[in-house]
Amino acid sequence: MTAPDTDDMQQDEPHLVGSAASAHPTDHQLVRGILLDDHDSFARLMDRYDRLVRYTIYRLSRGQCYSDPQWLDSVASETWAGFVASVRRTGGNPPSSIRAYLVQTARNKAVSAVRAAARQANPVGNGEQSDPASKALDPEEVVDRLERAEALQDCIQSLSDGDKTVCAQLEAITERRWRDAARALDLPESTLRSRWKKILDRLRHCMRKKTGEPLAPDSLADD
Amino acid sequence: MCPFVSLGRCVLVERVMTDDLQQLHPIERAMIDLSDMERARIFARTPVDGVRQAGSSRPAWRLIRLALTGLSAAACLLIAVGIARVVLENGSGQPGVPPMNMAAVSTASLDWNGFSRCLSGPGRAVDPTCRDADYDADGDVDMVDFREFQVSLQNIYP
Repeated sequence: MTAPDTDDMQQDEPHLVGSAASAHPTDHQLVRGILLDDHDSFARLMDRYDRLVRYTIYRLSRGQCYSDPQWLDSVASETWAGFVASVRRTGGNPPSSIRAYLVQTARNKAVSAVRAAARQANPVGNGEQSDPASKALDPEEVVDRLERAEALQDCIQSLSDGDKTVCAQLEAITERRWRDAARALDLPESTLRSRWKKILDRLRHCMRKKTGEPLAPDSLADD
Repeated sequence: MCPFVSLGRCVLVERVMTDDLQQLHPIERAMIDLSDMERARIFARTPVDGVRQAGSSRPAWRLIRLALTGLSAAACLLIAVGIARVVLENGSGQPGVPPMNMAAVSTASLDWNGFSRCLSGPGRAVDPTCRDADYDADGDVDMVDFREFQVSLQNIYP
């Protein structure tokens, strides 16, 4: 799960460097560690927000993420490098919310990369392609969606092995190719239908427990 | 048999499928989105090789590392083969080629065959026999190591 935003906590605490310094350092403590070349601080900040960075890039450049296996790694790597360079430039004056700043940096890097790729593909530029910069991206909303996705991932993991095997037939089931899915699972079609209904109920209950509310229809869907 | 065929596809089936998709359970839609995210490797870890170097105090080296880290192993190999070809041609004594500075040559920098065999790309663990090719000792042989290889060659042709 994405870590809770620790920006508002203990901002004025004395700086602590190293893994032994604090079990739960704030974002700002980690940033100060990065400024002192503490690689452990950097690794911990990445543990906390790497998924968020990658998800932000994905939201803005979904097509490229699918078509180029290196795309996401490359833009995410640039984002982190840009972030480190930026906090080094600003020195003792880091942004108030590290999380929001990372989302913004990831967004900017993704937009630049998409534009550069579009220019390369079409140097003349006919203006028909949609500009990713036109997509609004609220950091809180990005975090919320990612947390819901991670919650669903956890819920699926908590299912029995048999139910997980059924979930592996997601594509056939959601296309309502019940016969294909049932054949693949070696189950009668009616059994599969009723079992799928139970799985959905379990997941809904699990999501309600984790997020406090049932999954809204558009809670994970893209814009 | 399909009663309505358009452009080689069954319209009826298409319509039924579209209706079904519209009637997907919210959890099903979320599962599809999650599946897409997993396919795009959202939950994988960003390779830190280039990022770590961003903290270095040498900006030029940092940029080179970042540029190189994003390249695939295949791209690395293609570039390496191109450079190697030039090097080999130069070594054959064509006119205008500067003489080799043998004093500056190390065994590792000359062993192109050995280096190219070890070149695997960022984040890919290498065989212990490739330790010499892992110039920056980060456990892989990627374009960062290749650049070091090039630097060695620059010592040969000052």
